[in-house]
Amino acid sequence: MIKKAISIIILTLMLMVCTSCAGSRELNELGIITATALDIENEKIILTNEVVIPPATEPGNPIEDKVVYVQSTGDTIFEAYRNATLEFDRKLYTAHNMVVVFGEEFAKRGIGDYIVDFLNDSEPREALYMLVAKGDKGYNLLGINAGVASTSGDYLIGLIENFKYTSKTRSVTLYEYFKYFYKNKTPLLGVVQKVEKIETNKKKVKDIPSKTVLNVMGGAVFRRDKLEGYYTADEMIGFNFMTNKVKGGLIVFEVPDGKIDNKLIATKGKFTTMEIISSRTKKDIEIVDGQIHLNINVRLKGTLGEETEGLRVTELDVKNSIQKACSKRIEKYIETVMNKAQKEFQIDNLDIKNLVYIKYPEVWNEISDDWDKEIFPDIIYTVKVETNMVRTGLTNIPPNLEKGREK
Amino acid sequence: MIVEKITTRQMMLYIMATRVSISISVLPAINLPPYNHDIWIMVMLSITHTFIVMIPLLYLANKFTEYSVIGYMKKIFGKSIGKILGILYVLYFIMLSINGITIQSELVATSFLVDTSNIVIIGVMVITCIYLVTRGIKNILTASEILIPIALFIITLLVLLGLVKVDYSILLPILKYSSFKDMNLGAIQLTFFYTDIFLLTMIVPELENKEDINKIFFITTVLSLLFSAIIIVVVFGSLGVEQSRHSNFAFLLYTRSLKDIKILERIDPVFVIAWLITNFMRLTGFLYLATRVLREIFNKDEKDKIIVFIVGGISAVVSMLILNERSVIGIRKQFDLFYGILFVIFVIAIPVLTCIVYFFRRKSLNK
Repeated sequence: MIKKAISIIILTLMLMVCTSCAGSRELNELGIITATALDIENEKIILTNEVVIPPATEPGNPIEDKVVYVQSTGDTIFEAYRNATLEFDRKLYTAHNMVVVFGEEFAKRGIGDYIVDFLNDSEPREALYMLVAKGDKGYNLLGINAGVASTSGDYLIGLIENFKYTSKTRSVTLYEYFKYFYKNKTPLLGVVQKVEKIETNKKKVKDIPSKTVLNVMGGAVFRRDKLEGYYTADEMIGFNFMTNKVKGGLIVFEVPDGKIDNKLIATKGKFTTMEIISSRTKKDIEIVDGQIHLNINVRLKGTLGEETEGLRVTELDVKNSIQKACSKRIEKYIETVMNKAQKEFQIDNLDIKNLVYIKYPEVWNEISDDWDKEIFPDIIYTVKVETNMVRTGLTNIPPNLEKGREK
Repeated sequence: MIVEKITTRQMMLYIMATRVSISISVLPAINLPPYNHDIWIMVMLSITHTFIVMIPLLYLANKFTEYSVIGYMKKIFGKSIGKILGILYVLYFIMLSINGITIQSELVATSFLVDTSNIVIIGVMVITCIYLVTRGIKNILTASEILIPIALFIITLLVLLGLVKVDYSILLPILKYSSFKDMNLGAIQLTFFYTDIFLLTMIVPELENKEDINKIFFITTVLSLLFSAIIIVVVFGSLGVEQSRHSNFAFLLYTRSLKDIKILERIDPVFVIAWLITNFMRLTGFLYLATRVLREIFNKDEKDKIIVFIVGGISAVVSMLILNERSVIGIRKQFDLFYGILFVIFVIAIPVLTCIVYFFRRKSLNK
């Protein structure tokens, strides 16, 4: 009987412990962060957080302000987080934060020494997206919501995760940043900037003729942890091809004028769009007579998404011309990013050094210290792209041609 | 009365769990020579080193299948020396349990329950383990037969979920930046972390099939180190070599970085289930060993529970004192050296000495 009583007491106690009631933090005690901006001003960290008001985010809730913005300062990020409690009535909770935006000045000063807090603390997620605010303060971008998301943080995350539809940027998370940082010392982050657009909502246009939207496009190039410059959207397409990270997107190109069997191939000035189904890039390096030569081979499988040139895509020769023109465009993307990396930045964030590290360990031991500044800019490269157009969608002849009478 | 024996499968599962628990908590291999992407090969190489190092204990276990380690030491060295060695082994097993408790408490306190005090974490941990030990070894292994497959399934699932993002080029070039000396040095050091051989050699008398000792050891060593090598490949491929080595708990960091699992808001709790099962089993094992040796020294049977509470209490108090003083996980290196020395003494030196004495006294012992 005594044993049973003791067992019941122990089980009851365990029930209390196992429900995680001890040390629990209720929802109404937390300041749940959905986005963070980090800037530096007067040698102080400026930490800006978008904090959600939980009841306001419920569907159909009439509360207009779904979030509040909390700004605090400190010598370190951790201190800035804690200092927020001096002016904000809840302790900030970072576990649901999925995006951090670095102001340009902050990124130029070097982010490595500061963001250790995100790794040390168990609360923030390793899958936190990181972006650089091009030409702007990070806090200027928080609060802009031109999408259907309930908060600007969610809006921003949506934009980042859309990268697979264009390949014009990169979605880099905290742990990925450190992976590239330790591997190459030259990580790359996505870029976000404000863009003014004409207001098309007729209800609003009378008061405010324009609206501000966020644009996530391009890449922020780092030397170690300091921002060095930016890649444009087109350069990022080349970058993603080079690093074999193309998940999707479009290649827009012109099929050059020409005739096959006296039939016009294309009318110059109009574009053809290839939608990427899959892409694979293989890079190989060779050292011939002391000169490093890089071979880049891209194989792309695509579907003809849009065709405004009047191409007879059912003709094999025309199909080949389209594929060739698409390959040329991709070669151009790659050459552009290679030139910028080699000549302008002199930063190898294209993972080429890793090829030498793998294939020529002895050579790598000799040249590793001089790689970025002296060796990498002089690398000769050859790009070979093979495009395979496997689909043409639901039509096989564009509407500007009459089937059977194409000229 | 029919005494229930421990089956080969139960023993294998239990040892697998204790070995895998090390990989999913601190993953010690990644901080050993050659300190680069070839570590997974070093782990595979350590299979051979593990066998070599464990030969004396395995030989004795095969020779004295009716005795535990302390049993045959009393027989070979005589009762007095046997008892002294027994006391030393008790201290060693208590130290192993303290090491296990402190490491696991550090993991919990820095990752899951950051606001919870060490006393609560250690208290819950030790009370659970004490309870398990009081139920006896047969019950512990029966429980592990049910729970450990769940833990192993979870760990396998976590590994599989991360495979899509593994960058295998991180593992190249193979063996170009590692010396033969470093590989072997790392492999030897890695063997020092695995003291689970005692779980087998101490429980030999209760084994159903005593001729399976070598089989159990061989299969569990190969499988667990293979498992560890796969974990290292996935962790390195996902996080990179240096980031993994910077992390105190690399597999946990890897688990937290899995973000494409839409059905779960956070995947950490899944890891916690596997971690809880394997680590509680491991700690229970060490507490059981210390208790069992003490029982053998004082000729007590499993009905005597007070020894369990004494051993558990000592482990809890010392762990608490260590954790209150040792706040930085990074300085564990000094402790690893200390435990490495203990390993050499208790797993290699004393068994080798026992083998030598047995060799000279075998005729008189066999009479």
